[in-house]
Amino acid sequence: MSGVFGQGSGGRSTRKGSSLRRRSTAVLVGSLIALTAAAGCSSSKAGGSGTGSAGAAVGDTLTFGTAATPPTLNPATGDPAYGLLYQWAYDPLVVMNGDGTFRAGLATKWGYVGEGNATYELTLREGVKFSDGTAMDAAAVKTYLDYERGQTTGSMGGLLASIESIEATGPLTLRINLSKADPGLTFNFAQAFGAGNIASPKAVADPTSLDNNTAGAGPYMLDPAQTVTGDHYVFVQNPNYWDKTRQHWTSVTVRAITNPSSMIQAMQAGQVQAALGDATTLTAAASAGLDVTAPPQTLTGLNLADRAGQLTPALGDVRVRQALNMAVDRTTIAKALYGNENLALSQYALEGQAGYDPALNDAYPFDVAKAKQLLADAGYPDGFTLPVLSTPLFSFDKMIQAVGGQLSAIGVKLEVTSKGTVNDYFTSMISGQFPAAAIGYGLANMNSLYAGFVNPQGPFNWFHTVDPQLDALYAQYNTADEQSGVALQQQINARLVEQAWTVPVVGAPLSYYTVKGLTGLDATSANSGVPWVTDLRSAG
Amino acid sequence: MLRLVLRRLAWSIPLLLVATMVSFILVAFLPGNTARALLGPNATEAQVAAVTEQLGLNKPLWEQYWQWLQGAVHGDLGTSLISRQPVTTLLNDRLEPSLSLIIGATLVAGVVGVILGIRGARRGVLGKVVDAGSIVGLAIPDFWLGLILIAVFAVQLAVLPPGGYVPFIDDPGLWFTSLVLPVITLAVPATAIIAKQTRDAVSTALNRSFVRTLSAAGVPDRSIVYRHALKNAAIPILTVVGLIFVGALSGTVAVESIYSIPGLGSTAVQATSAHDLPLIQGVVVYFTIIVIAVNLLVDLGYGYFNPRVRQS
Repeated sequence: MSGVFGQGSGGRSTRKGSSLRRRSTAVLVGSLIALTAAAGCSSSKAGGSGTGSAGAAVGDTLTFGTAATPPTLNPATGDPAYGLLYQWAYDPLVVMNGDGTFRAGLATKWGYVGEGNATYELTLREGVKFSDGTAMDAAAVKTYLDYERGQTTGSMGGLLASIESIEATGPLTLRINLSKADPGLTFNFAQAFGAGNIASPKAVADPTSLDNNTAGAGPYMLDPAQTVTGDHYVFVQNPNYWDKTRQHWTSVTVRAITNPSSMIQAMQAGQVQAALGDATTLTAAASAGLDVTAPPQTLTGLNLADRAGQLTPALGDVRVRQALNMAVDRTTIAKALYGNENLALSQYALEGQAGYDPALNDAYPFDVAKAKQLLADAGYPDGFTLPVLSTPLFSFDKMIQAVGGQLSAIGVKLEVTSKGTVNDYFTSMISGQFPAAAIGYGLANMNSLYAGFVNPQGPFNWFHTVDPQLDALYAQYNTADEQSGVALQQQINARLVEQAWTVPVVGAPLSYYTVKGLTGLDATSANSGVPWVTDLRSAG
Repeated sequence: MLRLVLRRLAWSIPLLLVATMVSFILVAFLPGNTARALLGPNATEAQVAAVTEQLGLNKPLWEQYWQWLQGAVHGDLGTSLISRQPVTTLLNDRLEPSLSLIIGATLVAGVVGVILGIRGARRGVLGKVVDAGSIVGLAIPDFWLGLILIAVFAVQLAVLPPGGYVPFIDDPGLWFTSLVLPVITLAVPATAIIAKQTRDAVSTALNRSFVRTLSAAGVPDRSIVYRHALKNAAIPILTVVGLIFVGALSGTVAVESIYSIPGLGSTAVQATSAHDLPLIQGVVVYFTIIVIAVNLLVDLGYGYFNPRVRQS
């Protein structure tokens, strides 16, 4: 009966009850601590041994982890951000190596003819078929490129905007006539931007078929039956692929894992063998025994867009913008945010890229006193307040906080407004409400830098700044041959540094994690951090 | 009882209307732009304006809603602006993972919570443990718990997968194992709530005079607790279980993210970030129907446990 009423009575029961309470509480707390410790041990065990599940034997199939999946599988309306998914099914026209040179893809010869970068010719590889069995010839590539350059959604249409007409000059040769000089076509056709990811003309005739299926000439093709859009994409071998030796896997699954910690755990557990990494987990990935490849790729810093001083008059004076550059200790921020002080960036090109100039690294040495003096010379001895747009994504908020802390030493106070989504951030940026914003801009060459940043109509130049000297340099660069183009890119870089259009802070890395036993991931700053991912294979 | 069901079903239509109308209006206030999400950051203002017009997003809100409603009443929830797939196809693919997760978590929380609550109601000390455990269970962040469970069971012990979802029809065994950790993660706070509610309700029932009468009549303790007291305590427990099921709909967002489960929760977040209006509306419709169905089941449960409700 006492069991029903449950309550004990008497001193002895009370003492026993107290003892039980203490033990129960101790057991509960102890269990929580043990669980946490076990989890910690699992990480260190995997990291310490360097094998564990992270070094599990690589089999016949590959699972590649990515944080985001494209809204559509159509490469013509897609975005370079999803190139690592398109690449499995679509070979590009040319492939960019890690040293910045190009090698044959679907095209065996490519390049500008004549003077001025106004005519471009391609010779296609013989004997190539798309996954639907259609033969790849000049007419097929023309069909696709004409379709792609007409697209208004995604980025591809913009990358090919300079193309006026395309002619099939032979069964396997094409001539591309440009409406204006454009030195960037070869890079745009390579795997980083993916404008040369050619789809079958049969699919182009029915473009909706490309939204959820593939029709490329790559080593694999999508298996829609096993695919769940937005979650995982299963690619099986393309029976028509032109080089069987490059089909290293029986199947490849690209799996979306949005949480960076979950990605590492999935790799430790052997569920994923290679993945796009994340800046917040670089150290954790290395500790977990994964191979980390993290070339600098993105200019990350503070975009001083209001260069005419419309909203913040101080920014209209180049001395003020230069002072801001001098007041930021990039090395310290790079070390704090990414654990690597070599990611500090002072210019608009990365080491290994054509426009890079090591001398520009010393353009604005960290010097608070000199920065204060420069501000005073410009008429702002007490500093000023600068409203800044930011977002917590891509570690922008953290970077801006660090920059703000350092700029306060020269009296410049950042008023930061943080927007939670990319969409909201971009909409606010181009609205013109903010004189400055955190910026993350992928660096490849001066041509791609112009498109979104230097271009007065570009989204990252929302006050439409025009610099006649820059315009003149670009006019020369656009028509220059490859060799002369290198020097001109360096001059453009120097002008941007001199005019302090931004405060570059770090070259944020584009990172990849692979388990032990894999090779072939050739990602460097020279190829804008985007490897030809189908080269990934077992090292054994 | 039949009248109750019919009344509930009749109310579901205006409820769906109100829910979809409210969500339409709320999305209009969300910052961001669908056309910009589609075109990417390098699109010019002219391109954004062109696509906005192409998609009909510059029409008055009431006109957009009416257009959507006309399709919805015929079962056509439209096409995702971003992926261009039919909304019903997208959501039907994601319904099973979410329901598996929510039903699994509710069942686990219900069974474990009720058992703990009953034992806590019968033994004073265990009752205190249930109270303390409830606080801890509610305080544990699901994100932290999920990552810890993966670290221990998937990485260290390698007995369960770290994430992903296998449909039941593909492999029931793998379906089950893929759900163990996510269900536990979602069930822990729910168990805490149900245990506490059960303990309080059963304690109250056990202190009523009819229990003393039954006990005096020699009815076994076990029968008193499980046949009589629990039945009397069932109504508030059932209410909490229903609320937990509905609450788990939003709880799935974090859990689906940790375990990479392609469910309705993660779809809702992606759709909202991208301003994918048809997909957002579709999610609202699905969620509202689920809530209506759960409330109906709870009401039917009331009728089972309370004869007066049955007769009304």
